[in-house]
Amino acid sequence: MSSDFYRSSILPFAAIIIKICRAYTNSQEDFEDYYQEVCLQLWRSKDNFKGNSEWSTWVYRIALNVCLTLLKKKKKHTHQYFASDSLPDEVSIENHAFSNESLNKLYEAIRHLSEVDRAVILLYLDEKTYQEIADITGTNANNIGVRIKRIKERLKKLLDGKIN
Amino acid sequence: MEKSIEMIWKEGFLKNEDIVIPKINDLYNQKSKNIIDKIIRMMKINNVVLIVFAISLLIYTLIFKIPVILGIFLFFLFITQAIYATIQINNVPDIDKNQNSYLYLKSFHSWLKGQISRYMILSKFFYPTCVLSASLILWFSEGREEIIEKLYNQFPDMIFIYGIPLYLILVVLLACILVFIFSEKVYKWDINLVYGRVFKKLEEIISDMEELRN
Repeated sequence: MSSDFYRSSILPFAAIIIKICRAYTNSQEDFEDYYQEVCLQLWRSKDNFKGNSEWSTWVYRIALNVCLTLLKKKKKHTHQYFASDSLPDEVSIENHAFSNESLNKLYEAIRHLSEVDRAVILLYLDEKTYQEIADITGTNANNIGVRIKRIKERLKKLLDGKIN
Repeated sequence: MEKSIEMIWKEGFLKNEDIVIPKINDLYNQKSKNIIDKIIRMMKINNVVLIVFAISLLIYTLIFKIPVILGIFLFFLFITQAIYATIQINNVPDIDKNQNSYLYLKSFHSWLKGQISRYMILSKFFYPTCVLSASLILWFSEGREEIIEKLYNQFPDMIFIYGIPLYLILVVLLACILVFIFSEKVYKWDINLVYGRVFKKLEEIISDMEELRN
């Protein structure tokens, strides 16, 4: 990969990739693998970008599509973790990705959601409109609002009492 | 007071220095972990193995004085499969990762299913061919006389067809039929072992998205 492309087209959008990859991974090692794969696929598909949408929308799409189909075995403890329907009192050291404790808790709750719900809520939190969310995920904008309401309720239940 | 998730998100990402960007080195030369790229890599490796195997068989028949016509036949048999696999690799569509997630997952899923069904058909012929090749090579190897003698002592009334004991023909034939019948099951089991989790996950995501589309 040319470092120019990385510096000019990926680094300014790294936050988008990080936000998405964090929601689909449970360890620093997985996160770095996912981040790298998204960057690699962005570079590989750069010639297909025709400018019909914003570059940031392109980054969202590639990042989500890569995260949804990446072949990486989850660690054993991850399955046990997902089996539970409540958050642990403390965020595991591995998931201490951000200095903001509430954000770490929120991410832990987001990881309890289904893959599709994670995509929807991440886009919503990044202030995408219902139409944009529907365009990126390929769903129906009319259903997005209802789904977001449900996801927020579930997140609230998961987070109840965990964040002040 | 309890914060809304929107507030937590905003506050959490307020300071950009909080976002630590992972270091990546020599990214372009790193292997992709994406399932499509991984399957293509596996197909290419299989192809190389087939070609090496075909050449080795030919050399083996020449060195060990096994009828060269058999070596040539097996060589072309495996090379034909290698050519078929090459066509498959060249026909791999460049699945556009910029499609919306639903279309991307759908095209990815149908590509995977197509590959598996094609390889399932191929395996129906590939596995029996391997059994037949191994049997023929064993038959023409040294020690054949010894085997026949042992069999003859055991079954004095044994019938020979073109100098080959009927029992041996039946055993090889049975093995080929069994392998032919169970090849699909073996292939499915093999694929499920490696990609089962991904298939299940894909199907779940697609059905969840379909619910959101309707």
